[in-house]
Amino acid sequence: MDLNDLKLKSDFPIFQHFHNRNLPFIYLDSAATTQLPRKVINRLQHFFAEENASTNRGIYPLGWGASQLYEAARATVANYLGANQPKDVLFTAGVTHSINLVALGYLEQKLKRGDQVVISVMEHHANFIPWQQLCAKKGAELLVMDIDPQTGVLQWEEDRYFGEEVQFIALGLVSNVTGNRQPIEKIAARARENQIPVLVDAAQGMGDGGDLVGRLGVDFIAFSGHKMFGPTGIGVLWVSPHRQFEMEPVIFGGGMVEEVNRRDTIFADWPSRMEPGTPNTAGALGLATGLQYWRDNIASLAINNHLQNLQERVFSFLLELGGIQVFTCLEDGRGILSFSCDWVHSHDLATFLGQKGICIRAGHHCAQPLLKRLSVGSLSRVSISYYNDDEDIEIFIKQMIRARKFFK
Amino acid sequence: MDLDDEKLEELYHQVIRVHDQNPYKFGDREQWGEASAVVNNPMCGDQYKIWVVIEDEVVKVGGFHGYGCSISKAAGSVLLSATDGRSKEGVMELLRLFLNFIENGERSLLTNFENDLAHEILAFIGVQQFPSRKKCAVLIASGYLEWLNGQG
Repeated sequence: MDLNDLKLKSDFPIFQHFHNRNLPFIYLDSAATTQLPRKVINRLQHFFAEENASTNRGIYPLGWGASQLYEAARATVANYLGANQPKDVLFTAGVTHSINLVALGYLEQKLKRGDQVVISVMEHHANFIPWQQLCAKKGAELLVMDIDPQTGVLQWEEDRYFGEEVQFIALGLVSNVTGNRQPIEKIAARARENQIPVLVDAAQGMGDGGDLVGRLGVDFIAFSGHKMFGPTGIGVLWVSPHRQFEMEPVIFGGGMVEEVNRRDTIFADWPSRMEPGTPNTAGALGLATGLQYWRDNIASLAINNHLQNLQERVFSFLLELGGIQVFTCLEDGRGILSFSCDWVHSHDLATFLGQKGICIRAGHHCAQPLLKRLSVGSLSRVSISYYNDDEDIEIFIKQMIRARKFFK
Repeated sequence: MDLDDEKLEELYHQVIRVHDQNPYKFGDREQWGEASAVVNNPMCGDQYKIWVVIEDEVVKVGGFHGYGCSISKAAGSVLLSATDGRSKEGVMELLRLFLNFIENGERSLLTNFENDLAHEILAFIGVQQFPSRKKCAVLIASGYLEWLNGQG
């Protein structure tokens, strides 16, 4: 099945919006945020128009109904992840919130002076700074796995990353800069031998599909709705059941308690104790609907090579154009390429292309340690999703050729 | 020429291209000691160091070095090459007028300056059409002015 023939774009109203106004709109920034399918937008609208009430509060039918919807969304996410039970899934504000919850609610109470935490130089700041700051606070050491700068391959096999002092390993599943998919399964297996908990930042993991719990064998999985066809402001933290007992609430408020006294509080059971405040019910519904859309319209098709084909086309073009260094992993085929041009700064290129209706990302991509490792100040990034097609890439190529002349 | 091409030509005015490709006052001044100011654009990771030597309330010499886009680099080149020999107050006035021009489009007071300088500053007029690039244009001027403000 060729995705180009499916016209997946017709499921996403934003493409129609620009098409109707006869404006070019080539969206190549899906690693930052994916566009929303009509099904998700309709789900959000339906909730606000007909089902809106505070979740886990109201006894009246609308309130009860909202609670049921919220829990059904949790079950959908659990099913997607292959979790044993819905309660293993926490809803958060996004992957950043999820990772910080683990840093503060799980690791902070365990980490001692002289302990070590392992991350990699490829991490997004969201999976870098929480561990860096926690280590500084506790007098622990942050070990940063290096990469081969030529291939982007993670150098994870050194014994010291699994040593006695290592208390935690936190790694991204797929680099948001190069699209490298890390060998988490192997790393997690080795970590398990040494009883080291592992967190995976799966923000860029849509191409991996579902059942991450069973396939990865890790302790914590974090991701965001808005990179998986859902809305912003909602994310997930999956916590393996045996780690739930070791995790304490770190954000406090309503809805998370059994009883509050003047001097102390008895917290509710998991997961309520980790979700204080009125939940983002619409967000949870939108996220679940986005996952369903992915499952029904994309995962069921044999289209794994769609992103890879478009990625290869961009890659070979950039090399032909010249004066460009490309950082990507074609084998992993996640549709993410970053590049630096010796003839234009990434911001100037993004401005030029933006005027032509082409949306690419420019800058450090919240991965400054990686850019420093690659000895580049900023990068342009093309990130391709399932709704992109050959025509998008051809227009990108045409305008890149014009940009080359313009900036020469 | 398309409308968007016109806007791009205006943004990347010839003056900006020339200053970007061969910037004045651009180079490492570590031998002068610690930089007077370090400016960052957290959105894109651009970073410059600015060195300024002041004697008797006069900016004797200045320079900048670092990494950034053509707009930020050209702005640094135009401004740093215009401040040597001016009084501290005069430099502050220049930087304030430049910032006001970029941020608000106010150009009437630019005529206070020499024709060449006013012409070079006016070359940044295209930034008005690209609000997301204003931060690039003001990066060095803001840091320079903030440092001068802190000099008593």
